Formats: sequence, structure tokens, C-alpha cells
Amino acid sequence: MAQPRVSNVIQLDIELLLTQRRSESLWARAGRRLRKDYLTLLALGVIIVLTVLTMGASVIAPYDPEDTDPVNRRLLPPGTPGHILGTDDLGRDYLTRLLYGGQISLAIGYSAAFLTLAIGVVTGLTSGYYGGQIDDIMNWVITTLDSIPSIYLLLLVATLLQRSPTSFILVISLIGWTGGTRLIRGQTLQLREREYVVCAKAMGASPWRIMFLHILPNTLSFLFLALASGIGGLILAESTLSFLQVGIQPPTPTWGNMLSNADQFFTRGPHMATISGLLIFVTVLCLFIIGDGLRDAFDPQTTD
Amino acid sequence: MFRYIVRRLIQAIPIFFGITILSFALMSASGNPVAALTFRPGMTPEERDRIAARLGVNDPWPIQYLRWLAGDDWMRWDSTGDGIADHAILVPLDANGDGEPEPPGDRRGILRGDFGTSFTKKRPALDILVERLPATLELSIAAFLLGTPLGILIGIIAAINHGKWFDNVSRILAVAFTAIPTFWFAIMLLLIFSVQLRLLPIGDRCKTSLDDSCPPVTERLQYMVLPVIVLSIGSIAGYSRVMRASMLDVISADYVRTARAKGLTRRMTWIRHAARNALIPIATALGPELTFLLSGAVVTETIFNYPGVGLTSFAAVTQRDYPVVMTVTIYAAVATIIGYLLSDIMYGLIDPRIRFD
Amino acid sequence: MKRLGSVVVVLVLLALVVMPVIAQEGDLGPGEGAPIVAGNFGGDISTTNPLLVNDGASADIVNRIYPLFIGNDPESGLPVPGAARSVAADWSFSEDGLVMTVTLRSDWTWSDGTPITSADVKYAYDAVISGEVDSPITSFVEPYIESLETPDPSTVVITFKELDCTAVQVAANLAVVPAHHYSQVFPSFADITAESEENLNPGVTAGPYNFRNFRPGEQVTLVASETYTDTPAGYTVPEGFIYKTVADQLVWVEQFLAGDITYVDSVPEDRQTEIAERGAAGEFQYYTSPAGTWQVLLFNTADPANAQSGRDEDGNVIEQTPHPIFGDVRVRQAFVHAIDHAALNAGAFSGTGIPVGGMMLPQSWAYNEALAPYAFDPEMAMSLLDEAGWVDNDNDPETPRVAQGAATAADGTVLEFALTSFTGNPSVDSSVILMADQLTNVGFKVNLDVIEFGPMVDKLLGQTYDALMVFWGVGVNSPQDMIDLLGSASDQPGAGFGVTSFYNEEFESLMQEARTLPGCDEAARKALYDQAQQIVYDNVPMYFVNTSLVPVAVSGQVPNFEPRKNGIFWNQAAWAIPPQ
Repeated sequence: MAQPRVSNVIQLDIELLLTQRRSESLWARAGRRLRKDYLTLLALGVIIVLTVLTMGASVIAPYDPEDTDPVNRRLLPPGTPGHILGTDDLGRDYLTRLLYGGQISLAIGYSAAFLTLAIGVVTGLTSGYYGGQIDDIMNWVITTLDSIPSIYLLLLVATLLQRSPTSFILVISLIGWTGGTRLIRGQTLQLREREYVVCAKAMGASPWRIMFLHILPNTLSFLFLALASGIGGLILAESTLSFLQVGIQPPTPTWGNMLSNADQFFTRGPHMATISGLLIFVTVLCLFIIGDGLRDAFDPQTTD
Repeated sequence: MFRYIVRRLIQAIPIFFGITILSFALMSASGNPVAALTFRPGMTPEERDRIAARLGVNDPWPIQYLRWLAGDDWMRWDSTGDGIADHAILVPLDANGDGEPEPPGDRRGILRGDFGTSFTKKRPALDILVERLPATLELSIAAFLLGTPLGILIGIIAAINHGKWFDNVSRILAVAFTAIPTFWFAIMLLLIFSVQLRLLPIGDRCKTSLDDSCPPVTERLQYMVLPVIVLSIGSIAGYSRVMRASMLDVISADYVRTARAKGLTRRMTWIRHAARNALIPIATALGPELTFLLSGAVVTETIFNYPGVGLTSFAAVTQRDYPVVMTVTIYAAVATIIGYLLSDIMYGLIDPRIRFD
Repeated sequence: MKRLGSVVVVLVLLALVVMPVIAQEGDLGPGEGAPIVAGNFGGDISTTNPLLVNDGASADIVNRIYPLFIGNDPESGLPVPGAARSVAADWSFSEDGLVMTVTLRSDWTWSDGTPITSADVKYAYDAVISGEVDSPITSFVEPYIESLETPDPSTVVITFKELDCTAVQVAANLAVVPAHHYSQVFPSFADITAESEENLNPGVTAGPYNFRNFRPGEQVTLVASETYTDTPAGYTVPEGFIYKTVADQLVWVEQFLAGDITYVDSVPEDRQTEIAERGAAGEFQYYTSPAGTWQVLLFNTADPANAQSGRDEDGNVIEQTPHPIFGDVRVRQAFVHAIDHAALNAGAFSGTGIPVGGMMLPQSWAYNEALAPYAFDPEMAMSLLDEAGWVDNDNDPETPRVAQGAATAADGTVLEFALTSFTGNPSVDSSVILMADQLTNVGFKVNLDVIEFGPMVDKLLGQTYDALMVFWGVGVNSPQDMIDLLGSASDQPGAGFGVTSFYNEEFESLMQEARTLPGCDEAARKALYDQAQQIVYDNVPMYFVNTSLVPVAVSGQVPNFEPRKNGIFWNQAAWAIPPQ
């Protein structure tokens, strides 16, 4: 598909901008900027703490996440001795569930976002580097996939498969990789015309070497911010699918299915909805802030 | 321009076929619908075979795809007018081997507007989509008319007041609103404004009455308030961020500086030159936005009980009513193709550097 | 003056209190009451044709716009002559019990003025046995009725194939349709399909309401019939009946609480405690009635990898490969003893669950009171598993047991199975989670398989599940239905309800005997059904987890909500809601 043509003058403009800034390395400058961006650092801190806590759920969590006792422990409020965050409708310790749930939710977010980008990188690099027929076919595949609203694809696939975290990650990655491909492909198209790439090619470097050693490092900044907002988006998507009853299957807890289950207990167990909703909100917010912060830090156009 | 549109439409043809193949593959992968379709106490295996043969579910999948796409009234037909099929191409005349030919094909295929009959509702799948369209369209159009200008406006004001309180507050809100799960946000609005404060109706499209239809949109705006807010909040947040960033980019460009040098006031410069150019990235976002709005919002329609495409397609997915699912998928895909086309045209209208040649 | 003032205040207050009461007591004429609005949680209706109706939503409409052949008494739930909305005024049997002669009432007409006659019953019967109409009624009448004759417009003579103690129930399955109209719009029986024009736009009806329109995704609208007389008031009081679609339970309940919906006929589990409290506080009318279903756990006793029919073409019993775990009755009993019903009741049923022992429901005449619900006894469960050859080989109760000398599985097989259920029902969701936890404690490894309703039905009917949780039931007063769920003749993968592949010769002969017992003495038949239930109880092909009380909430605006034991809404067409 032909893209609307951008005039050569503009292209030159961008080239100029990029070369001008090369005096200070992109990375060094981004690092310097990030150190001063306290909001992003705070968000990063929150995410790291949450990740460490949830990944250590089996050590930290006071109870078995699937141990039920609705007769004696149904909907205990937060602050009950032994159950700091209360219990859910089946008497399971809520703190424990949140820790284990976070483990799954974050693992889904991290691995699906990573896998999505990995597919995007490989397809984007090849498609952008080789161009020609490969690019045409890739473009056709991408446009086709993007033309079907992803909620339908997700729903369709979710009703076909076992709804385990693994299949969930696979499905999301198989559907969601096109964004990454577009991003990397666009970058590669620009970078492959650069002098240093042309030189490397002239010196007989293999295509793989050029793609992964010369082109890929220059796209990393984009990848990081795509990763951060991608993880946030995936955590939201997981909760939406849980609401639609096609999320991760019980009894495996995730923040998404805990929140969608909690909305049935607004009146008798409001702590459930409040805590799980807040956790999702804070996590996604932090990830988006990190994404924004990274973009600002790497953006060659913003001035200090 | 006209030639450009025609060329883009021709380019859309392979994409359309890609979509049909993908949708069909998904539908086929989900298994044989005959068991679910034919469950009835006392159903004999022979009878089930007969239905399977008529539906052609045991044919090789390229044939099945062709039947779905182009119908089967030309695959097996009756030339003598006695109601019994006597000719067949691609498919056997007698598919289940019981010695009698299968009935003549009666499907016309999606290319000729035959999307099949809903498994659960026993009505043409296309009808089911079409009767739900108005509800979705009225919400989408309202959300679009509210969200896009508001987002752009907030973005411009934020950029003009770069670094001041409005900028900071709008940026934080924009991130915050995108970080809330939609269903949660919708339920909260419903519980606060409809259930607690009784300011707005609790869901629905219009007042329940013995009347034959809903009154015109203007007489039931109160029913649209909450769903439209939920639908547009994402685009307000998204557009304001894009617009702000893009304005800040443009402002440092040479031509804006030139305009300032020509003596135009700061405000005039912003609006005349910067805003127009800053709209370019917005145009690219319009295509996907249109798709999102037109394909119906499953969550919003479910929570606010709004009888649109999203609600019916979600029900169809869970009930595995494939004819309806496929109809909605094809519809949404076509809407997307048109959305991208519109977005490209907008692009050209806003950006003078782009020529359609 | 001061005293007079307070007297006036009191009088005004009194008037305020009394006036609405007077207004409610004041007779509302035909169609003068406010319309009834009911929430439809089950999706759009698929038909309005009594011959085709096969889903709850459509039945809710059909039951308001068509007559019944034979109706039930709202108190006893048993078929009685002259029941409201039915055409059978009286019936009698021949000496040999094979011929049933039904006399029809003659005071009722279709909406176009044509009298309702025996021809309307005959048409429906001919249609369903013609083999050309895809009607769910067929399988209920075709195997049992020899012929149906109509010697005159007010008489129907039904001849049964054999002496049948359930004859009246069989006959009650027959429908009444406007023959004069149908024979015009349907040139042949084969034209009676869901695709027909008539299907969602019935031309001629008879019932408390007439059909007005169907707005897909929004509502079905019915308006009061002017000629219907079978209500306590002698006419239909509400102006109409609106069956509105609600997609979400939250909206359903909140719309009721806000007064937009007249009643909620089954309060969702998660709101039950709250609704009961608010009902007790007088905010609206609240009533609980025994559910017509149990929550049941079905065991697949045959190998799910090789689903076979119970009988071959000649009617001989097929020996099926047993299920590797549930093929052994002791494992099924161990399963049942491992379940803590008190926990299920508290966690999944808000305390409304009622444990049951027999297959019939407690409110049924055929319920076997002698059968105590299985006790929660993990020790017993573990010893049964030991006995069956499923042992705890590492003395770690956390790890699942493995086969060691089990009859149905090779040594070393893990005691592991999939517990299938469906999404969307909070009670079921909670039940399976609780069960899985409890079963783990005695050494099962449970893989929860919570899927969409459609795929669940496929697994159920295809008999490819291990154990499956669902709500199901036999007719409250139709114990003969038990054979449909547990008889080998209905064990046909994909075509029958005998999904457990259970086969017990004695059970089947008891059921046959109870159906055809000469004289049809009720006590004698109950004794037979009691024995049949005992067999089910001992062999546990199905575990009846519990039944429950269904909470119903009705708006305080309805002055004459008078639920009966077997008909909560029997007088709904006389509900006199003051018009606004």
C-alpha cells in the first residue's frame, strides 16, 4: 500500500535534526533527563515494588490463595485480625489473592508485551529492510489483522481456547503484534538509507548483522516506551475480558477477574472492589507515566 | 482525488479477502456446528448426517469457504424444475451416500448479500446487524462530536499554557482516565448518577412504554449522557495528548517563527498556523477511532443496556451464532477500511504537502 | 384552636395514608391498570409459535398470548379441568384407561372472533406428529399417543398406546393453535418454521394479552385482550405487558428498585441478602418459592474419549468402557462425602440452599423423604478412595492420590479430572471453586473448566466431560421424567439427555412399572418411585447438590400480589397497578 508521500524537504529536516543531536548520545541524555523526572522515577519505584511483592507471593502471602471457608470467613472487612485486607465472598484472604493475582496479571502484561514486541521487531525489521514483495505481503497481513476490531478476535479466540494465562498471552501476542511491526518497519525504512547502514552493506555485512546490530539499537527508545504502555494496556484488556466472562479462568486469581467479581459485592464487600480497582488503576497509571517519561526523555525535539 | 479514492478502493480488495479468509478460518477452527444445531431428543445419526450433508460441513474447507463467499446455488442445482437437484459441480450430488441427491443449494453467499441465518434467532444475520445499527450509530456520532473537538480544544489550550496549571491538570487527567478499566468507570457513573443521585435513567435507550418505537433522539438525550461520556472519555484523553504534543512540535517550526516575525499576534499565530498543522497527527488517528466507534462498544452497551451492535455481537460470540459473528466482523472490517480511507483523505485536506497522485 | 389544628393535621395525615389504599382498592376496569414491565435476561425471543417454542424467553411470551390445552392448579401444581387459560373443561377415561375423552369449553374465541374448538388441538397434534415440523413437543407425545380424534367441535378423544399413569401430563403437552389461521398462512406443515413471516408476528392469538410488536434488543410489547375472562377480576387489568431486554443483572435489579421494572422473578445470588432485607423493611414485596431445579453434579460414568449410546439399534444394552475415575461408584460416593454443603450454602447460595437426597424435589408428591442428603465426611471419603484403589502414596495430603489396584485405571494414574461448568452464574462459579478446594483436601486433583454455556452444552450432550455442574430438573410433579435423564434409551451422545451413561436394569423396570401400573394408585406408584430414587441415591450417577429458594421481588405498587405455592404469578393478568 502506498503511503502518502512526504516531501523530500521534510525528510531532510528530520535527518538534520537527528544528526545535530548526535553530539550527546541519546542514551546519556535520556538518563540525565530521567534522573530529574521525579514523577517517572516514583512510578518506576511503585512498579518495581509491586513486581517484587507479587513475584514473591509464595513467600510473603500469609495464606493459600485457594483455601476457602465461607462459613467462618465470608466477606470479612479489612482490618480483621489475621486478614489485613479482609476476605472475599468465599472466605479467601484478600491480601493473599491480590499478591497471587498480581503475579498473574503482571506476568501476563510483561510477557505478552514482550512477545508482541518480539514478533513486531522481527517482522518489522525484515519487512522494512528487504522491502519489495516481502513488505507488500507483510503490509497486507497487518492491514487485514488491523481491520478486524481486536475485541472480536479476542472474544472469538477466547471462546475457542482454554482460558489459561499461557493461552491468553499467546492469543494477545498473536493479535497485537501489528502495532510493533508498524513502528519498527517505519524506523527501519528510514534507517536503512543512512550512511552507516549503506556503508556496512557495502562492506559485506550480512543482512541479519545489519538488522540486529546496526538498525535495532537505534529503535530501542521506541521499544521501551511501547513496552511500558503496552503492559498497562494489557492489564486493562485482561480486566475487560474478565468483565465479559472470557478472562482468566477461576480459581486462578488475577486483578482483572478479582475486580470483575467484586462488582457483584458493592453493598456487602465494598473493600474488594475498592482495593482491586485501585491496584489496577495505580499500576496502569504508573506504567503510562513511565511510558510518557521515557518518550520525553528520548525525544530529540524537546529541549531541556 | 477521485482517482486516488478509486485506487485505494481497488487496493482494499485483497484486504477484504484477507479478512474473509481469516474470519472463516476462525469460524471453522471452532468446530462443527451440526451437533449444537441438531440437538433434539430422538435425533437419529442418519438425520444428523443428512443435515450435515445439506450444510456441507464435511466438504473440503476451500469449498466451504467458497460456499460462504459466493453461495452454493450454482454448485448443486435443479434444471428440470422438479425440486430435486440433478447437476453439481465442485460438490457431489449425493454427499452422504444415501442414494438420494441433496436438495439444491439455496445460499447466495456474502458477496451477494446473503450472510446466512442466525442459528439462535432464525432470522437473516444481516437483518440482525442492520436493526441494531441505529442505536450504535447515534451513540458513536454523539461520542465523536463530543470527544474529538473537546480533545483537540483541551490539547490546544494545554499547549498554549505550556507548563501552567491547566496544562498540568489536563495531562494528569488524560493519563488517569486512560488508566481506569472502562467497565469500572461505566459502573461507577451508573451507580453515582443514576442509582444514588437519580439524575439520569438507569441504562436503556428510551423510556419503557407500550409505544411501537423509541422517540427521536432529541427527546431522549438523558439516556445518552452516560454512555456517550464513557465512549468519548478515551478519545478526549487521547486527542488532547496528541494535540498538545503536536502543537508543541509545530511551534518550534520555522514557518511559525516567520509568522510571528511578520507581526501576527501570538494567539493568531497559534490558531492560524500552528493548530492547523498540528492537526495532521490527529487525522491519522481518526481511522482507527472510527472503527472503534462504529463497531459498537461491547462493554458500554452492556452496562447501559443500549441495544447496539456491540451487545448483539457479544451475545452472538458467546452463543456461537457464527452467521451473526461473521456478519458483524465483515461489517466492522469494511467500516475500518472506509475509516482508513477517510483518514487519508483528511490527511490530504489538512496537510498541503501531500498530493494525491 | 390549637387542638383543632392538630386534629386537622392528623386528618390530613390519615387521608394521605388511606387515600392510596382506597385508590388501590377501587376497581380498575379492563386494561385500566398500568402496564406490567418484566425484565428479560435471556436474550431476544426466537418465536411466538406454540409449536416451535424451545427457550424460556419465547415461552414467557407464548404463555401470555395462547391458550393451554390442559392447565395446572396454581396451588397443587397438578393438571385440573377448567384451569385458567386452558381449554379443557373436563375429561374422563375409558374403563381400560387407554382412551381419554376431553370436553372443551365453548365460551372462548381467538382474537379474530373465531371460536376455539377441538380442530385447533387436532391441527397442533397433526403438525407435531407429521415429522415435518421441528417441534420439541413431538418427543413428548409421539411415543405415547396412538391417535387423536375430534368427533365434534367441543370433544377431543385421545387414545394411548398403552395404559399410561402419566396420560394427563402427556396430553397437557399438546398445544392449541388457531387452525383456521395457520392453514391459511402455512400451506403445508413443512412451512411451519422459525423463518416464516408468522413466527415473530402472530396474526391470531388468544390469551390475557394480544401481541403488539417485537423490537429486537429492546422489548416485546403485548396489550390487554378485551375478550379474556380467566382472571380473578374477570378481565385483563393491566393495559399491557412489556418484556424488556436487560443485558446486565446490575441494571435489572437497579431498574426494579427505581420502579422501572414491576418485578424481578429471580433475584441474582449476590443481591439476595440485600434484597431480602429491603423487602422485609417494606420497600417492596418479597417472596421466596422453592426452585423447580436442583444444582446437580453429573458424573460421566463412561469413557469420555469413547462416547457411545446406551443401546444399539435392536435395543440391546451396549457395554461401555467405564470412566477411568468415575466409572467406580466408590469414587463417586467419595466425591459426594467430600463436599461440605454448609460451606456451599454460605458461599454460593446466600443461605437459601436446601440439601436434597432424592431425585425429586422436596415439594413434589413423589419426593422420597427417607433419603437423607449425603453427609460431609472427609474421613469416609478418604477410606472409600483407599478401598477403591486410589491411594495416598506419599502421605502428603496436599498431593493427589494415585491408582494402585483401582478397577478402572492403570496403576500410577493420578486421581485427576476436569470439573466443567459455565460462566455467568455466580452461584455456579462459587460452587465449583468451593468444591474444588474441598475435593483437593481428600486427594483429588481438580482442573476447573469454566466455559461458555454453548460449549458446555456441547460437552454435556456429547458426553465428553468428566464431571459437570449445571442447574437441571425433572418436572416437579412428573417423576416419570427421571427416566429421561438416567435411562439407557436416552443415552445417545448428541441426541439424548442420558448424559451420565448410567445403566441400571432395576431402575428401568421400576420406572416402566410405575408408568403402567394398573389402576394407577398414587401411593403404589410413589413406592415404586421411592425405590427408583433409592437406586439413584446409592449409585450416585448424579449428585444433587441442592435446590434453593428463588427470591421474587414485586413492586409495592401491585396491590394484589398473591403468590400460590405452584404459581407465583397466577393472577398476574389481574394485577391492578394504579395508572400514573
